[in-house]
Amino acid sequence: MMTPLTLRARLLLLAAGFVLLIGLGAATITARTIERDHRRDVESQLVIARERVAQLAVAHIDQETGQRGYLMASDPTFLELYERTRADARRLTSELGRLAGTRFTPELAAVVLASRTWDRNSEQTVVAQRLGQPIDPVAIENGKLLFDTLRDRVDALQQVVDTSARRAAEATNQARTSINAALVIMLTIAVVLLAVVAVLVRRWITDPVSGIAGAVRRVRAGALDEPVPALGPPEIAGLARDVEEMRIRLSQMAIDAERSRESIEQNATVVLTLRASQRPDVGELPAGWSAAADIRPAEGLVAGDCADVARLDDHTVAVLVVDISGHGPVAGILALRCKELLRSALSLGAEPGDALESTAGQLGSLGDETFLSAIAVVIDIRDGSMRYANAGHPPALVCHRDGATVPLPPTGPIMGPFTSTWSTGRAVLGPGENLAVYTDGIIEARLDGVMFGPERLAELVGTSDCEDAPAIVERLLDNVEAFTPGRLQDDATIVVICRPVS
Amino acid sequence: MNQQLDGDATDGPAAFSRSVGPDGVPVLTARGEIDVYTSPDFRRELQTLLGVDATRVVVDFGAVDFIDSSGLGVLVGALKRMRERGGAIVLRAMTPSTKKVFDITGLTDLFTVEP
Repeated sequence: MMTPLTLRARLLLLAAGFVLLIGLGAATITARTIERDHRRDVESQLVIARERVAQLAVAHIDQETGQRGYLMASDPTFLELYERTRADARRLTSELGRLAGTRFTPELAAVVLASRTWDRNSEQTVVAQRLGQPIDPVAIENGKLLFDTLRDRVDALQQVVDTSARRAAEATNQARTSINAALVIMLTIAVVLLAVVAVLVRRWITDPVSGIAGAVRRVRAGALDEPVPALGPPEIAGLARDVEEMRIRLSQMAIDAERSRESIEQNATVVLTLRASQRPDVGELPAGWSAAADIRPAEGLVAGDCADVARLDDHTVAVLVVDISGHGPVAGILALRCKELLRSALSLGAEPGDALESTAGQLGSLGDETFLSAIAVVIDIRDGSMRYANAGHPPALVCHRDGATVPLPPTGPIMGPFTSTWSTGRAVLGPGENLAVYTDGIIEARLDGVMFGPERLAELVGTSDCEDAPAIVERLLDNVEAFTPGRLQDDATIVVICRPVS
Repeated sequence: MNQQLDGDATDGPAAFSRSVGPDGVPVLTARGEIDVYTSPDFRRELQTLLGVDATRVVVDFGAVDFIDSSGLGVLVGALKRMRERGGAIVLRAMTPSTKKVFDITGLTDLFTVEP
């Protein structure tokens, strides 16, 4: 099967054919025009020659009249006519010689010969008459015969020149007609060629593009199952095939997107439920105590952080914060499990360090690169004494009323990579003081390499109204988000609990 | 003078380059910020350095401005692999801010730290 010519090749062939035809036509018309001009020149020369031959005949007759008149009457007027017409005859003969070319040379030569013979004869009689000598009657008689011969030669020349002039005129007319015919033929060919070009352009370009465009418009309107036909020459057909592949990909992407949407719809409930479970739970607190907690996830709806303020019994409140190394639903579920395990262990009376160890044991392996940091603070609401354990977590801050802060540093490493133990530390939350527990997403929020840092956190918490935990949490998170316009790099969690002054 | 190896990763806010120290120990020199965006490069470079039989590798933190939990996760994963083959990872030239992160997370005790 032959490979179809490309559109470029077809257009080039068409253009070449067009140029060839135009060139042939132009060459033909040019050649015919040159020929016509030549024939017109010949014709005009022959017309002049015809006039000159007629003038020559008249000149000879006038010369002969002048000669005979002078011989008979010795009137100088006839002699003057003789001399003048004799000179005219010589001039006309010479001019005819230039016009003759190869067309009537023999006839002109015969005229010249007859003219010279008669001229010598007549000259002798005229000279004798001028000298007063007797004129030989034989010479006069010979002169008549010679003049008749000359007239016959001139008549013959006249006939030849007339015939040549007539033929030249006919040839000029033929050339003119030929040029007109060539022009008509050229015009006809040009019109036919334009019609052929129009048909070919329609067949090669307009129709295929129209067909493809119609299919593309139907695809654009949503008919993704509508195939785009590969019409026309290779270039346009190739473009159509590319569009068709794009349509197939779009169709597949639409199917995938629909499946994804269905999957998201199915998972959305799970994610929303997880997020609701993750939302910090601040349980009922003793009179005067204030607590608040909030999480701002770094991506999506689900954070890898978890936080709670839980009432363990009549005298104790637990503050729990867990941070998984990662974000999203998987990290969120792990954080939730960790928090619930910690809360369960603390509810059973375990010391915070032991609760961490128990939780680590129950969580088991978290994966090669996954770990978590956690902090558990148990506060005795009667005297503000605190027991806490910190698994590689940023130190919680006890904020005094004068703005000074005391950190609750790690009591063991992060949880997950390797088997570890955690000790339980002790501290006191005095009257009017508050405790801020947060994740590294707060202090490591950064812009252009500058971090929010623990100092800003301590200043904001320390200078806030110490008895209004929700206001402190909101103010702090607003400051963090204002510090990093756009998305947070990490989940940001803060828990604040305030002990009343009295 | 360390011998430069192929495989530098210099795009983004962090850059990593591998070399071999005078004692023949592979060295990964990190620069810039190691966070959730640059950790994949950090992981790839570190895994290449660990290869299949290295028992001691050095990570030079002298030019690291910041490392977050994703970067720590990469190091923890690499340390697990090294411990399985009885090897160790040396953290060298940590800046005070970087060392503070390792101190808080307790990872300073798990790695070998050199000034």
